[in-house]
Amino acid sequence: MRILLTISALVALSAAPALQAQEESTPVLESDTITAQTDDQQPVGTETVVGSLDGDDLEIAIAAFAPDQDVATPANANGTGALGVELARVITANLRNNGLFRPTGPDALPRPEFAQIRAPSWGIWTRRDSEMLVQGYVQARSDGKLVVGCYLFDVALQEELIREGYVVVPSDWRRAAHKCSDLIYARLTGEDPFFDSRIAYIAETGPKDNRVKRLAVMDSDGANHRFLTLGSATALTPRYSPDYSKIMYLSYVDGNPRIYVYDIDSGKQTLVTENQSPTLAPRWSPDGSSILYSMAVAGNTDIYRISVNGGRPTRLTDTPGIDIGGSYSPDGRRIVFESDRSGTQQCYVMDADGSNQRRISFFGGRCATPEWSPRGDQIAFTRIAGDFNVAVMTPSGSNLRVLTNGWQDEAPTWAPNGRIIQFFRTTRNSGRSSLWQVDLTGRNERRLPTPVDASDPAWGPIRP
Amino acid sequence: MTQRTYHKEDGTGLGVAVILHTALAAVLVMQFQQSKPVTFGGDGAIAVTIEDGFDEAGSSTSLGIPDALDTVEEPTPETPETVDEPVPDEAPARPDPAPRPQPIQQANRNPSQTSRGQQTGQRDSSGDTGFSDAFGDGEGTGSAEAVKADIKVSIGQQVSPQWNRCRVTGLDIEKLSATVAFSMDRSGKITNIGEPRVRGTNPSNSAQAGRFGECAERALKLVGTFRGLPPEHYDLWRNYQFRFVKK
Repeated sequence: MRILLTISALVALSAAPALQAQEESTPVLESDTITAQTDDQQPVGTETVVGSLDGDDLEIAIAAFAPDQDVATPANANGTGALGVELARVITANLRNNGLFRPTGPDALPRPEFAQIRAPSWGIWTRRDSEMLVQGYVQARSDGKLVVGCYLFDVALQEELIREGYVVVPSDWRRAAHKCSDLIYARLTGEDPFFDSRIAYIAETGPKDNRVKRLAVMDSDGANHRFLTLGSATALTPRYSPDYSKIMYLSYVDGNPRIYVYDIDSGKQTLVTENQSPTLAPRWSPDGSSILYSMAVAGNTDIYRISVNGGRPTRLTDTPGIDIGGSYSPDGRRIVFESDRSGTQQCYVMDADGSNQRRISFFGGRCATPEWSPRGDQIAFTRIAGDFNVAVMTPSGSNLRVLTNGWQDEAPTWAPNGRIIQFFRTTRNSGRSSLWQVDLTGRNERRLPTPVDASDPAWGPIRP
Repeated sequence: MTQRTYHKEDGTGLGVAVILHTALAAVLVMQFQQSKPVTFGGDGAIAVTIEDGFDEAGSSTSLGIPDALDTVEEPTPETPETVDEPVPDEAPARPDPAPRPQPIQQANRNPSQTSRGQQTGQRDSSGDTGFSDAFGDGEGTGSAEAVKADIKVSIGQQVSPQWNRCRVTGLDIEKLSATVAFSMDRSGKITNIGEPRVRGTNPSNSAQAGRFGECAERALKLVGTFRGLPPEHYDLWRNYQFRFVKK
């Protein structure tokens, strides 16, 4: 689906009178190093001010987006006024779910007028102790499209921090809310955005011993959910192509695991390799030009690379045993994979051409399903040490950190910004599974609602 | 051999062509300047135009604070807003205060008046008795270091809550530090904030480094004016520097 996105981002830091200091917590001064830095030979004190990493979540008010005039729109049965409220609600929900903000949504806030969007009534917001303020507007254009404006203000400093505008077709109004959420998130955290992205996963229904597994997709917040396959053949391990045009996944159409590429627009599916051998664990290269997969031949499973246009595959591993689950580094120069060549499942890194293979996991337990972070500095994997848990380490195998403590948490996949990891959790005894997210710091674990049981999540990139 | 001849009609046509091409070039340049497309994703994935429901203001308003410390004009002595004690008008500025009684100390010793230490509630567990004892009656520590220590506590207490209002999270945030130099006038009002210098970046925390520095600067902006600083020791605190960290 194509949309028009209109961007006019301007950072406008404006003057503000100095505000009075607040009387809050007691400071901690760490050291007392006096350095000699002067403007006119006078001494300058240098003190270390220690803040808390566990500070309060940022208070942020998200007011209803104001319509220039309340008119009918296909995006909302009650017109652009009601749509403005919905936009703010979606943004509020996005910001609430990542553990960094304490948002107050439009239902508990005054509704600014259209004329106040660029010039907030500061008194209203300072009285509410809001640290930040999101305001916006929505206009229905004569060509049928919607214009959504998004503004972020620092209430304490009474400054506008950033603004963007988006032109969308009415059916894509939620994307405007996600783009606005991304704008706010990126501005206030320094991180890359991730809300305007989609998730593919395997929807599971039926009894434990006869599960029906279907390919399904949804927005990052669970909206716009859609089943892509009927469930007649078991589907596993989906992966979005970097441009979102295709989903690659594993299907047991004829009883054997084969990798298919599903074209989202046409619904057409193609087999990646015409081969009788089982093929597993497909992954895209970062530029979408080639595919990694594993193939089992005569009891030996190795990792292969093939062009998306077909042709002759290149075998990258050749050691006895099972080499599987290759995942590219974001620069496409290295691959992390799993191998049992040492006797147990462990994680290895090799160059993209298969050379220079070396083990990186040496902690207790096993290492499975490694996934390279989009930022390149971390590798997430399933750590098997009694329970299954999601963990991260550096590409050299150092700084192991276990992020979850469920009974069976596995198959991590990264948010586009490399900040959040999504995985699936299987409940002991019942075998029921669900999608979960956890922050890279190990905090803010939460369940992502799905209409049915869910496994094998795959987070796509930020939407084009 | 072909021979070309130019007639009057040709000249007219060429003139019209030149005018039209010039006009076309002008239009293209104007469009380019007015609309700088921002492209998301791959080729032709979406069309992007510049538009906003409002006329863009787009102007950055000056912070009203000079950019560089060395551009600060010499602060003119003002009546400190927060000084309760009477301060002799002729109190000399002393770059290196000696621990001996001064006229101001007599005022500070008056038990009916509130010392600056009490004003800002800066007593710490070490029993530091503040500015009045530092230069007061000869019974305190009576040293420049004691005054500096009190200034440090006073300033630190005022900026720390503002630093905590900005939350920065992620891996290795504890390895970041932002050093910010600033200047104050005699009333304690910040007149100049230098560019934050962020150190300790690595691949895991580089994304947050900019925000970290911005938060440090924001903490100082939120303080605005440091209260309770001794104007008679202005040279000890007129230029200051903080190193902001989070643990």
